[in-house]
Amino acid sequence: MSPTRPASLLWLVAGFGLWSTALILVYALHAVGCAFVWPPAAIRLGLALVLLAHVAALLALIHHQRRRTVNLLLQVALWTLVAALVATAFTYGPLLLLTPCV
Amino acid sequence: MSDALCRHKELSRIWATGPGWQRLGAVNHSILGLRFMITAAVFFAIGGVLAMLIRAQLATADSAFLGPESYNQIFTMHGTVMMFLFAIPMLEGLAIYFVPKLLGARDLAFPRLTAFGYWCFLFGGSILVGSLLFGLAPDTGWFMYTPLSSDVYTPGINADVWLLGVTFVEISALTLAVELVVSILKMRAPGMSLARMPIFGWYILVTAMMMIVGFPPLILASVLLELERAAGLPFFDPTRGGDPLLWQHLFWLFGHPEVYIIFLPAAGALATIIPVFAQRPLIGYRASIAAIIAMAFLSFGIWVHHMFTVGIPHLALAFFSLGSALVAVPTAVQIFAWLATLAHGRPRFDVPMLYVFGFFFVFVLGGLTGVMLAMVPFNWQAHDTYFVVAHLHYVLVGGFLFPLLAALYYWLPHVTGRQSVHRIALPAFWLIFVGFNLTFLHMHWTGLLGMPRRVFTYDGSEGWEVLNLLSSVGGFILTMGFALVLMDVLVQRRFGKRFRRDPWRAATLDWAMPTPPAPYTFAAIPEIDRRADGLEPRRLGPRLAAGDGYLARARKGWQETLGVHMTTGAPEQIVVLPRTSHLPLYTALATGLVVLALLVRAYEVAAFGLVLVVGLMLYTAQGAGQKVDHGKLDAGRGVALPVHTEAAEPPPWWALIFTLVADATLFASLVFGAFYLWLIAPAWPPSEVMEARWPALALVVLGLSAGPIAARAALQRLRSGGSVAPWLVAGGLGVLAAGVGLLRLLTDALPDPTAHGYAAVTFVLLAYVLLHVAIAALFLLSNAMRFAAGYLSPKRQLDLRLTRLWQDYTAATGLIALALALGLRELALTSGTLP
Amino acid sequence: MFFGSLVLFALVMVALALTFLCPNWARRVSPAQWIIGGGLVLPALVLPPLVAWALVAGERLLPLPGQGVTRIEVVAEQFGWQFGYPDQGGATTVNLLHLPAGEPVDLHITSTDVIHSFWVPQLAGKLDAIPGKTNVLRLQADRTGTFYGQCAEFCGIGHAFMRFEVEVREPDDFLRVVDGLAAEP
Repeated sequence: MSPTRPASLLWLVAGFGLWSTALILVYALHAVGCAFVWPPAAIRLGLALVLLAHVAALLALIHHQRRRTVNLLLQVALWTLVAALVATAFTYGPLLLLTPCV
Repeated sequence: MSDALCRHKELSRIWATGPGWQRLGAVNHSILGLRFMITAAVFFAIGGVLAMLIRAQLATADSAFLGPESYNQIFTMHGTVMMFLFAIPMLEGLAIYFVPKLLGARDLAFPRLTAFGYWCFLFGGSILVGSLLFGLAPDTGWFMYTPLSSDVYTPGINADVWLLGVTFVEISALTLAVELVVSILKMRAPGMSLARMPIFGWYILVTAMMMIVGFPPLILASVLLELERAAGLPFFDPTRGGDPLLWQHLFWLFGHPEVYIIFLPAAGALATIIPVFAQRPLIGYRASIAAIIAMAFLSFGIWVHHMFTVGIPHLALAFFSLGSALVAVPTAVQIFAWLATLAHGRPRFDVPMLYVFGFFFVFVLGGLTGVMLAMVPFNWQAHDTYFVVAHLHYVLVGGFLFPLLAALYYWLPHVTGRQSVHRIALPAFWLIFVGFNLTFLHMHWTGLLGMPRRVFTYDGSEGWEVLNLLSSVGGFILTMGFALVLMDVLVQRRFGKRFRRDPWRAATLDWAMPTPPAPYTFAAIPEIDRRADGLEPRRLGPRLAAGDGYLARARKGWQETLGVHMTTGAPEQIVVLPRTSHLPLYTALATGLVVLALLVRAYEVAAFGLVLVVGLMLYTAQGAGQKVDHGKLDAGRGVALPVHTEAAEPPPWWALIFTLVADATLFASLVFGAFYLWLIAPAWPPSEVMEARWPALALVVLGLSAGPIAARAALQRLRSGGSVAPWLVAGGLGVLAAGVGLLRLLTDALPDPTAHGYAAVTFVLLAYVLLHVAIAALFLLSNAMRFAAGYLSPKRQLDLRLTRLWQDYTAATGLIALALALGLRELALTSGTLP
Repeated sequence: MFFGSLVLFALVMVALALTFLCPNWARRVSPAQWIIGGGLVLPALVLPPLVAWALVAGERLLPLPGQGVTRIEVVAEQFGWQFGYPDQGGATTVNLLHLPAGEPVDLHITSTDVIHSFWVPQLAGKLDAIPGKTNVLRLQADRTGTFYGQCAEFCGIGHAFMRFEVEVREPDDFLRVVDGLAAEP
């Protein structure tokens, strides 16, 4: 994709967009799991999978964009991707250690 | 007469707003931006008076000054006025006035929409404030928690005033947000790629995007609550399958981003002002952009930190808490970027810098207490106490009011053409600074001692008396400070020293024009060849006045400005803007009639008003655009460009896209609401569910699918030069089929929507589709009228492309909504098995 | 937390002062050092320990299922509190809560009308009373005495007066008083 197309602006929001989908999934999964009284281990496993999938997706995007910092906006986009990765780990990582549903 | 003077006269004649009655038809961004800011300042004064009444009441224990009836109205209105009628409109006014000037456009993309937005704000605000005079003001808190705000516990129209008045103002905010996004993305000076845009542009761009995504949840919540109050649909009633916490989720889904929506433009002003006084360009331009984007997203993911005490499981609180703590990082990045700018510049001191200092002092404290409140156990203790009151005032006054006052002193010369008189400015600042801290600093302590919010009195045995008295004294000192600022503004306007150009030696385009600005803003539009916060307005200004730039020649009496490529800033089209008109005023008046009629539940009048609004909008649309193809026209500097009506991506195209983003957010919030009620609400499952009427469902699916097909065929016909009429009729038939099918489902297949939250939410899902189908009909009607009048041609296809986009959206959300209505039926039946 | 914030606040204000008062020093710190140091490193040092503490403290306060925790039912309504003691023969008290000292108690909190919030500032954090929903607050009063509680969520005209008293007694005294209440006709 040409680095100047309007759609290239989507790179700026890709990283934190993924952080947001992780939020929605974590929130929904926990709510549904608690409502249907899933075993805590199952809920934890689900949370871990969501976290893992998002970390993997962010890593893939970072890998893809690593050398594509041809202009300022793509450079900023790369920073937001890295920031989103850290944010994802920081926000959802500790959840795996907590007690679900209480 | 010199060439520059000729140009000035000619452009002024085209762009000027006439005197007297014609002032009400003004569509110019300078005029409307000012009107927004002045009106917001008036509302600020009203909100301030309310605050004084609160402080007078709380100054002593067992005060008999106000009773709970008036106190509840006053604190509710203080919050409502400051949030919805001061902060948001003020930042909008700031953006409206300065965005075109900083980015090198002559006006915003949709001047009549700006005017409509202003009138909606004014009328909505007047309804809200007017209710105070009649003692009918909202009295259930600016957060309007259900079920307290439902009709059972708050009969009377007080809560309706809030719901309708605020929605009225929100619609205005939403239209302006769309306008700002489109203007920033498409209407900059040529050569100003996004990477060269002044940082203020980035701040407003992100803020406006946040408004587009942030306001729909509140609008939806208000509509749902009004439906509950007026028609008995139980979305928030726990006895009938609703859930009061759904309101809190939707409210804070808006309410938390709102804080950042208020802060970011103020931060944008700081990031513009600090480099001027540091005498060097901003350091950390790229880091700031990344920080703004991070902040925008994080702010949407932490709304539950307002709800830590409602009994949500600790694990769910945890990630909202972690996210809230994380917001400190992008905030710190920006603050240290500004410190670095000061460190590496040659800072000089002036009044705006005093307020910048005030910002640092107050906002950093507010941010730190914010991190404390993000910690769940501490929050359980401090929530809903005066600690939070102190925190939020530190954040909002520090993060919005101090930067705003810095901006006032920095930009007032732009508006008045005169420089500030310092004698009053200095004591005013110190009164405000000392008064503010005297009011709120020890209020943290009052809260930790256990004083809860929103109590109208206390008995004096708790040990809160001295602290409260101090706060009240501080509040009055603060008010004196603001009175001095007001005096200062008036004095400057009257006696300030005139100046030639650019009094602060700034480096942005807003000072490359005569001040006060001419109605056409730029005599010629400059070519930008570097980051646009490193320009030399003192040299650029005279060159532009002399016509050295784009569109320096007046043509056909058109109000012209340039449209550019979204990212690169290459010139793309000549945007011809509409002239002054009273239509925005009339449309807003008609909208106001609808709101008032709904308020007193005169539904026939409301329907009449709605017809009026639609008619006026169709009529306004009739006058837009061009009846002939112009081909490429000279834009100056040897560039020939098409008029926007013939361009591939004119501003209205993007406006509809961003409007649909807002619409989709509203739809997503509704879907969230449906799932939330199913999963969380008590009193499920419902006793009755929707019947699956397959003929009606098939009719809806058929009608919805026909829309996009007919729209495509019509567009094809137009391109090949044929008549589009048959396909418009086909589209109309599709609309008819979908409409009839939906009505059938709503009236016949669905159980009574007042009986249970399930039926109510399904009702709204289907009504949402019906509304979009009805609007599709209006699109087709407008297409037919404009085709007949000659506004469409093989080169001027915009109308049909907009219709296609709308039909696509309607079909997509319509089919999703249908699937969801059927799915919810199954889920409702299974929810009986929920443990 | 309080002192930590003061230190951070002082740090930012000193940095601001230095840019004016000591420009040579401020200029020696490169732009990247300013932004990375203040914007990334500083929060990276402060936030993780803080949130770790908060999460652990939050976990400790959870009403995990346990045996022998006394159950008390709290019903809020405009504008008063009713407390029920199902473990002690179903006695009820109005605007007066009896608690045993030194023992964990589970308060099952709900409301019959609008949202209220149960709060005894000196004993525990607050928890909302929400119609259609029961929230459980685990609370342990460590010393005997009289405490004051109040509604912390705005609930209408009588919000300011929606207060109650808490009597904390030694466990034996608590049982005696509550059993006595239940025995009354």
